[in-house]
Amino acid sequence: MTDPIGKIHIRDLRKAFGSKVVLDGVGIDVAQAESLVVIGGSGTGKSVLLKHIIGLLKPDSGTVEVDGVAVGELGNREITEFRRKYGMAFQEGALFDSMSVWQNVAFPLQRLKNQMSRGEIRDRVEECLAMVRLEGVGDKLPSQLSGGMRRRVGFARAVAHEPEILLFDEPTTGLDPVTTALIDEVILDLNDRLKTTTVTITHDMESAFRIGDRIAMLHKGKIIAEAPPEEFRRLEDPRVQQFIHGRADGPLSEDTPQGEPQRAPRGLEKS
Amino acid sequence: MKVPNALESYLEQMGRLVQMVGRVFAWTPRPPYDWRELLRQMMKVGVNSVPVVLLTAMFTGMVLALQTFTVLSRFNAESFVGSLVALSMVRELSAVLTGLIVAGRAGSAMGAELGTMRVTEQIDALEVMATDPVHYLVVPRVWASTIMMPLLVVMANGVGIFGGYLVSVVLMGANPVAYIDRTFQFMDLNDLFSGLIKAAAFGFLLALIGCLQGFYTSGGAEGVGRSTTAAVVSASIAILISDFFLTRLLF
Repeated sequence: MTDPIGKIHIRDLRKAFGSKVVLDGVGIDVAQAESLVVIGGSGTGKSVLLKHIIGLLKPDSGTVEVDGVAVGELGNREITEFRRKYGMAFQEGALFDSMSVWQNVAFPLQRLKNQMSRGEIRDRVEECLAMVRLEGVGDKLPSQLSGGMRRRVGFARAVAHEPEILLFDEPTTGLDPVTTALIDEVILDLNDRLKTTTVTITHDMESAFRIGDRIAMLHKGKIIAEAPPEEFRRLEDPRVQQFIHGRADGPLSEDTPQGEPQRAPRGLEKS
Repeated sequence: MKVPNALESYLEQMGRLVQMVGRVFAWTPRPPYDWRELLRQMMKVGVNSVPVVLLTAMFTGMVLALQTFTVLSRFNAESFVGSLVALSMVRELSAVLTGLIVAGRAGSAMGAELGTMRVTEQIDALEVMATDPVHYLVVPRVWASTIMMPLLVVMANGVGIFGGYLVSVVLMGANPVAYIDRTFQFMDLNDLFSGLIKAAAFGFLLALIGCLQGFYTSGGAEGVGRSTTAAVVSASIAILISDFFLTRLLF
């Protein structure tokens, strides 16, 4: 399934915003044509990790190498060229408000594939919208769509130019189960057909087990577990088990975010 | 060395401003040239500002005529009202007032638009799709504003002078022919050009600052609000301060 050739190498990646440490020594590799799923609670730096892979953020220390190139060290123009390899779907879709849905999906094709003719672009846009079951909304503006529809358009836009590397920031959060399954199938198909390397962030464990060749869990700025799905399910780490089963009580809920000292709720101190 | 916070944030702002100017000039000559976007921005900045700019110029000209008539009549120099109104408008007031109005209309809109794009990750999305956001968003806005400001000021000049004429001739009973004569008697092309150069400079500044504020927005909807306000306030201050230095430089 997965090639032994490494596509993305992340070594000891650290990033802090002000005094808040978000990534505290993340190290992980993603192989060519592999689908890696990163899970973890809100605010554990999953999005920040993705933004490092595509060079939107520069590491404080450590390296992110993609195809042997240190992404953080590329200059402004070099990185612009380098990003042709990537497609990325953002959390809320990040569609351009001033453009129609159709123009949004056509944007990467016009920008990244100079050799495509108008007709080819039109066909490809239709194909991508059909892929996420959104035929016929091309003329609408993003503001006229529901949140879930915007997310799907964002997904279609990310995959439109068939990039080598796909990054998905919670592609299925807030979608109904059927649409979620549909998006998962598209991700699997791209992986299978185009040998795309995929990194997906999600909260949705079902989705994670479906699309991941490997699952990694990010917690407090570190990768605390990584394994293929079946193995991952059986990991004994109580933090992993709590997350998989979505329990309110457990080691994850004991660590308050932002490193605040643990304190019992007011009025319970004496009990 | 510990730098105080206020100074640090001031220096950061100035650094960003200088860097943005550099990026705008570096990207401007590079293809693809987005003419349609430039035209769209020219419509937004220029054409849509025409009514309010003309209204302002009209009343400024009228007030100028009233005021200068009152003051000049104390020296028995009422006949120079036309010259004073025309020179004040052309050399100074049209450019500054139009600049302040366009900063309020278009500069704030740029701050809000780019700010929203920042907080909804649209600017990140542009970068991801191999599109430099300065090239795509800032360059057309800055040049549209730089081109349209002088055109607006030409109109403001005409309307302002006309306002002064109306008040003087209709209200004050000045001789129409003599008034028009006086209007142009002491004016040369230098007066006109210096006003237009100022206008272009203000146009560049207000769009640059509006875009800059939007570009570095953080903190959701509240942050967009802050950027919008900051766009107007800092652009207005920049216009007023640079006006002094430009005036000193151009004469």
